[in-house]
Parts: sequence; C-alpha cells; structure tokens
Amino acid sequence: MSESIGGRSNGERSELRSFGDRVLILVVLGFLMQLIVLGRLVYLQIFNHEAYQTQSLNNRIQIQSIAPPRGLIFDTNGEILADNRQILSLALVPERIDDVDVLFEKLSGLIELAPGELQAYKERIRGRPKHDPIVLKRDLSDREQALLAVNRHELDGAVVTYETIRRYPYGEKFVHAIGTVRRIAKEDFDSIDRVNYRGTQFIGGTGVERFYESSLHGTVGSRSVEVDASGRPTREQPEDLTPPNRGASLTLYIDSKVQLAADSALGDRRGAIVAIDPQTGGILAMVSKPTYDPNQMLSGTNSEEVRQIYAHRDKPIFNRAVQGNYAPGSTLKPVVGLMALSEKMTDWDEVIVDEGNFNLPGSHQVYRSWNRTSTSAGGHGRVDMHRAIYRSSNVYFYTLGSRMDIDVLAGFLSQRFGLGRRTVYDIHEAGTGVLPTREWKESTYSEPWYAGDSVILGIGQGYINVTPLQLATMATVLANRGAWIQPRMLKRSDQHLVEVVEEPESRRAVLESAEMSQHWERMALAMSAVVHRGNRGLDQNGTAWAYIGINLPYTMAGKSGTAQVIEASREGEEIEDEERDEYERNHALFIAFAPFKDPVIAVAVVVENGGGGSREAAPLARAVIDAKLQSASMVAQND
Amino acid sequence: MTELPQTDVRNPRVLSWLYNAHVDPWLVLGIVLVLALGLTVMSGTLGHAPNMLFRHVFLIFLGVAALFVMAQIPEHTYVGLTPFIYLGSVGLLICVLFFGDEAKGAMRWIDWPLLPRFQPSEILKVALPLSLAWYLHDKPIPLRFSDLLVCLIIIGIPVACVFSQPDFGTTVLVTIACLCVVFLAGLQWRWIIAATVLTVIGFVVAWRVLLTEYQIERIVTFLNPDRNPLGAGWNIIQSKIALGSGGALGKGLGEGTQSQLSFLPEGHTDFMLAVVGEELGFVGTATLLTLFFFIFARGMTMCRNCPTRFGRLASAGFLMMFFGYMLTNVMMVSGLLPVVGAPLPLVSYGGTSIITILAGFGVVTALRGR
Repeated sequence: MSESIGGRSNGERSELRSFGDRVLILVVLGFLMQLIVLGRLVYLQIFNHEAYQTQSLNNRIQIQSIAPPRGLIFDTNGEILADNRQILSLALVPERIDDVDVLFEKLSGLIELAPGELQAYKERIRGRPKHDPIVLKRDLSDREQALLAVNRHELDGAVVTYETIRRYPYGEKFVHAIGTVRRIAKEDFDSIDRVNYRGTQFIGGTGVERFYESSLHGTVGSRSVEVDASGRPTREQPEDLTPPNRGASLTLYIDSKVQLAADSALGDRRGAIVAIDPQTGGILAMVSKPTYDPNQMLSGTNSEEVRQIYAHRDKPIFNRAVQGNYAPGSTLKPVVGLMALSEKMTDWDEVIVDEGNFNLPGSHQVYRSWNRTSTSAGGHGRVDMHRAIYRSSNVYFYTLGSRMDIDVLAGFLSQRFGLGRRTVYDIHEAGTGVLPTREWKESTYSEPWYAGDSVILGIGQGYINVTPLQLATMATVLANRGAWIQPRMLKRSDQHLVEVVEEPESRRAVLESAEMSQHWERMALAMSAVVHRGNRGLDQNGTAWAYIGINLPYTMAGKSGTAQVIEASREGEEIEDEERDEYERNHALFIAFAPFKDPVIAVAVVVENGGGGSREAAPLARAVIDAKLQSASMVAQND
Repeated sequence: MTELPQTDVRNPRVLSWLYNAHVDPWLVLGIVLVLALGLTVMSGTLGHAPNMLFRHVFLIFLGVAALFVMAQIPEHTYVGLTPFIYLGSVGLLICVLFFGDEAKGAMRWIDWPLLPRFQPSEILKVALPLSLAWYLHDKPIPLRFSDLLVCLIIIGIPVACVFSQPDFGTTVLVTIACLCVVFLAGLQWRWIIAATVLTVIGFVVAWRVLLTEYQIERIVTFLNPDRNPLGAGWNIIQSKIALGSGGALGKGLGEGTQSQLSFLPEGHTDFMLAVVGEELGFVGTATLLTLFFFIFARGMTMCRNCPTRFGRLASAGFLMMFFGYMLTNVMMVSGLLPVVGAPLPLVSYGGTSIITILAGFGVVTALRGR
C-alpha cells in the first residue's frame, strides 16, 4: 500500500471517485423523478384545476329531501279520521355495533323481540350505508323506552329514532271506509315520482288514501347539507331550504255518528253496511266486518300478528262493502218491477195467483216460494205488484222474470242503477259485481242464456252479483225516485286536488214520462209498506214490519232480501236454514231509505249467513237510519 | 397559523451553537421547514382531534431530540452497535408476525405494555443501511460475488418478514434503497445489468405467483380507479380531486373541503400531501417537494465528504430511503403509483415514522465526520 498526498491510498481514492460518481447518478435520477412528480402536480393542480374543482363542489353539497306532512282526513263534521303522529322506534346503527348477536341478546332481555328479527335485520343491512339506522321495533312503549334509556351504556349501536306514521284514531271502525296507507314497496317506484317520494315511507294503499294519494302526499321539500364521504350530514345550509308543501286535507261525507252506529249494529257479524246521502251521493258510512286495526299494521314489526290478520279465514283485510259479491235476492224485486213497468210487461193492477210454485212452460223445473214449509207450499194467494213487494212474492217475480229479455233488463239495471259498473267516484278498488247478459254467459260459461236463468233473476238469484255499495246506490236511486247520483267519498278539500279532472256527476233527474214518475213513486210506496204495513193479520203485514216497523217514529221505505248461498236441494226435502252449517246459511239483506218524502239516507245491509233479511238485516238498517236522523234533528234543533 | 420556528443561518451565534451540537445547519433548516409546513397543515386537518395533534407535536420534539442525541454518538459506537440493531429489528419483525396487532387487514404493529404502539418495519429505514454498511465497510472493492450474496441475505430476512405482514410498499422501497447501498459500494456494472434482467423476470413471477389478491387488487385498482369508485379506487379519486381542486394557490388553510369533510381518507397520514395541495395549492406542494429535494441533495453532498465507507454507505442508504419514500408517497397520492401505504416522511402523522426519520438524520449527521 503506497501513501498518497492526502493520506489516502490509490484504491481509496478510486473508491471515493466511484462513490462520488454513483451518488451523482442517484441524485440526478432523483432529480428527474422529482421533475416527473412536479409535472404531474402541475397537470393536476394547474391544467385540470377546474374539472376537479367541480367534482370537489359536488362532493360537498348534498341535497336532502324533507318529506311533506301527509294531508289529514276529516269526517263531514270535522272529526279527524286520519292524522300523523311521531313514534319512537328502536333502530340499530350497523357501524356502531361490535357484535350484533351479543347486542340482540341484551336487547331481547329488555324488550320483546320477535324470533326472526335478528335474521331479518341481517338481511336488511345489506347494501345500505353503514351509518343508516335500521328499524328493529316500532312504536316503543313508555316502559320499553325507559328500559332502553337506563341500559343505554351497554347497548352501543342501538338508537331510539323518531318516525312519522299515519294514525287512525278510530282504528278498525273506519279502515274500510277511508282506506289506509301502507309501506312503500319496491314495485311502487315504477309508478311514482321517485324524487317526490324521497324520505317518505308510506303510500296510500286502499280507499280514499289511495285515490287521493297525489294530493294527500304533498310536495317534497329539500335542504342542502354539507356531507362527508360516508354521506353523513355535517352542516346545514339554511339559505338553501325549500320547505315541503303539506298534502291536501280532505273532508269526507262520512259521518262518524252514522259510521259508528253501523259498526256497532253489525257487531261481530260478518257483512257490510253502506249508507249514502241521496241528495249529494255522499257516502255516509261504510262498514265491512270482520275488520282489522290499520294502526297495528303500520306500527307493528311483529310479523306474526300481521300474518295472522292476512291468514284469517274471514279475511278481515277484504273490504266486503266495495268488493264483496252477493246475490241481491229479493232486494232486486222493486228494480225488476220498475223495469217491467217501464217496458209495459205488467201494470199495477195485474194480479197473479201465487200458490207457492212457479212452473216454467216447457220445463220440469219447479220454482218455489220463500215461505214454503214442510207442511205447506207457501205462496201469497192473489198478488199485484204492490202486494208482491211488501209480501215479497217469489212467484209474482218469477213470472215477471220469465217474461223478460235478459239484455233489456241488464241494460236497465246498468243504466239506471249502476249495477255491473264501478260507479263510485273515488274508491279505486271498488268492484263491479256481475251483471249477466247473453254475451256474458256465452263468454264465461260457453252456454246460451236459458229461460230459467231469467226466472230466478226475477228474484235476484242466479248469476247476478252486487256489492253492498252497489246495493246502497240502488237504494239511493229508489229514494230519489229515479234520479241518478254518483256515489262518492270526498266532500271538499282545502287545496286544489290533482285527482279531480272533472266535477263528479251531480244529481241528475232523468226526463221521465209522467207515467214513469208515477211508477217510481208507487214503488217507493210499496217499499214503505214493507216497513209500515202492520197489524193486518197473518200474511198481510209488510215483511219487515214486525222487526222494525212497530213504533217507528219516522217514515221509511225498505226491501228485504234473503240470498241463497247454496242451491236448494232438488229433491224437495229442504233443510231448515238454521240447521245448516254457519257458512252455508242464507245471507240476510236489506235496503232502505228514510224519510219517505225527501230521503236523507239510503242504506244497504248485508249480513253474511245471517238468515232472513227482514229479521236479521232490517234492524241494522234501522239503527243506521236512526243515527242519521237523530244527528240531523239535533242539527235542526240547533238551527 | 402556527408560529414558524425560525432558524437564522446568518446569525453566527446560532450557527456556532449548531456546529457545537455537531449538526449541519442546512440540513436542519430544511428539516425544520418541512416539519413546520406539515404541522401547519395538520393543525387544520386534526383540528377536531386536539389530542392527536398534541401527540404529533410531542413526537416531533422527541424526534428532534433523537436527532441531536444521535448526532453526538461517535462512529465507532455505531459500528459496534449495528449487529445488535440488526438482530433486534429482525427479532421485532418476527414478533409482529406472531403477536402483532392487526389494522386494516395487515399485521404491522406491536402493542406491548409500558411501550407506545409502534411499527417495527419503520426501524428498517435506519437499521438496514447501517447493517449493510457495517458488513461492507471492510470488504474488498469491487464486491465479490459471495459478499453480494451475504448482502442479499441481510436484506432478504427482514424484508421477507415485512412482505408477509403484508406490507408491499415497505418491501419494495426498503429493497430498492438497500440495492442502492450495494450499488454505491461499487457493484460492477455487468452485475447490475444482469440483476436488472433478473428483476424483470422476477416481476413477472411475482405478479403471477407471489402477490396476494389484496396486493394485486391494489395494483389493478391503481390502473383503473374508476372501476370501483366507492371501494378500492376511492382514495385515489378523492386525493386527485383534493389536489386538483386546490389549484395553484389552494383553498386556504383549514378550508379544504375534501379533507375537512372527510371525503379524503387518511388525510392526516398517507394522504397528507393531498391536504397540502388542496389547502395551499401547487405553491404548497412544489415548496414541499423542493424542500425535500434540498434535504436529499444536501444529505448526499454530506455523505460524499464522509471519511469512512461505513459512514458513506449508511448515510446514503438512509437518504435513499427518505427520498424514495417521499417520491413513492407523492406518486401514490397524485395517482402515478398504486396505493401502497408509504407515509410522507416528516409530514405524515405516525410516531414511529417521524422518530426513525429524524433519528436517521441524526445518524447521517454523526457519520459525516468533521
């Protein structure tokens, strides 16, 4: 090793030189990389500044929707039938839960939770933001709230949230009259304006709630909030608030007093009652039994109870008043009579001898009277139209039926009474019933119309089916002596409605011949005899007199009906109705209006498997009319 | 705004004090300016969490103290300590594999009682250059092949541990910096060319066989971040928005919506540069980058003047680590590289990183000779 001037060896010097060179290479490389990076920053921050600026602004501000308060529903006297209330619900925030199973165990120790809830929760959590609370149990009781509050420290992730839900103060008593809302389903988003329904959880499901949905709902409002990356609001921008427009409040023709009277009159029996004001067409009461409490359906997460409601044999969800199909039975007789009179197939003086049996010429079929017993063929002797109504003679109307052309009859029933059509203005799900014609039978059964079909149609049996609402409409037209009026729910609203494209049809007097007007009046008289003709001895009284006519403080017209549920046995050995299975007994029907002059209420009552119409259904009709006339007279006294 | 600690290099009293403390005033000036800039921006980002901010400030002071302490230790002490430092850090890395603390799908932390939580892989930034320098300091130059192999083993053991945590970013960066040490030690050019060819082949093999799905996912996401804007690509998209929306002059301190509204994840750690860019604009990022290069260049000049090979190699290796981390972080944040998890040295929140880097500069200072 040789010493050099700097005290360093040659090797050391060359090593230092090589090191210096290589350091320089690395520094230059580093500098070049630095330039690349700086170039990239120039590209991002200088050249693309505007594009990123826009993106950053979009990131910051999020428009949040404010659900509008749903319009209220009032009865004709201003009584609240549907409003909104805040409930407290237990919800879980997924991102704040360590172990959901442990939390569930703790929670179920405090409050009652349905067994499937944990699974349901785990399914609902998917695909949703982790900070979004998921409702576990709705409508906590005070006790449950207290228990949750006391144990809050060990229930991390469980929160109590507010929710606005619909409230129906009368619960099950009005649900079939006004309808109900339901939770918005996925399918709904195809038909509604998504923007307008942001933040809304409920949508009209049935009845008025459904028909006037767009107006009841209102218009969604919005506010701008600054949000963070996970969508959590951090700051509100008060200047960017668009308040929602609350939904229209509706006042219905429904009269709580009449509705409650109808509800308690029907009691626990299955059936329906519909009452209409013949002056306005307004529906005063609409009851369908059995029924259910919509509040329970809305607030309950207890799916077992809800499932039971759906699975019940008697279908409480089903609105019999507008969708139930029943043979009108003898309640159709006044209408058949009027048709025969208008077609001049008979007159008020024609007398038919009713021996209890009717034989259709050229047929072996025997059609029997309703008052036939094991010892007598029944029958009402010599009957004219008037007597045929108040005694409800089957043979008389078999005879008229046999004279009729079904298509002419169907045309009359449809045109004048709205049978076979959905005439009610604002109940979307109202049924049409069945109004048979030749063509209908051909297409439905591939069979021609037989003469026998017309015969039993004369007493409201056979293919014809009507809804209780249609029966009430029929009673309305009879009360109005032929003037048509469209039944409807809505009396007025406090806002312009989206749904009303044309004014509902108002009372429309048909230009009748003087002769026809007389027929209508005399038919009403015959119907009042059903109720008022009494104390005349056996087989001489109106069919309903004994049940409702004695001591009736006002005038009333009515017609009973007893509709067969199963066909009478052909062998002639008929079983007494009382001995039949409950669900095979006859339906009891009654239509009525009162007072006789200038009626203010027309009613239809159907009691499923109730038996005789006069005995079972007429008293309910009277109870409803009593309620209406009482409240009317009270108003009159106050005036 | 935080008061910037000013170092007046023209004041002879301050200068003499710094010389007496055996530190290089230019290096210290660069470091202090970077620290001040980072802390200023972080005080806005962590405004909602004063505890974290105080902790960060405390760690910076601890790190600066470490710098001064390390600068006082004579070179022969480092030579003597290095084998133990090496064995210690390898031991810690193995501990991480077995008793480590998991965070975001990777085992990187040690959380022992009585000790603050720390990341052993960070220690490698100082420990590995020292170890290589220690092994090479008395070997004949140019390197023999056997020495090269030993070097590769010295690098390989801790890097394999880091790779299995898994920490892809640290693995690559530490390896590259260590290879630079070997390069500086005088590796023959033909071997370098051969190694380059082997590396290319190795890359292909790694892509096909060695990388876990999580690592491949990161790389694929990098290549096409829009593929999953709410998932893995989110960070890159948001950080580019942050940088871009900052523009030339920025939105102002504490006004960066990307970070203040937490659109930008990791705004105080790996993506700190995006916050600087958003709030201070290109002026901020360019200043920061220039300061980094200044520190790097100053450090490299210092180690060119190192009297010993040990000092030269150890200092240069650490400076390569430092600058490599900085470059990787900036490329990652600006979308030039996949998100690999490399903090921005001296700026990002994270105790182990800031202390090792500052201590590393202490070592560089100590080894530069006088």
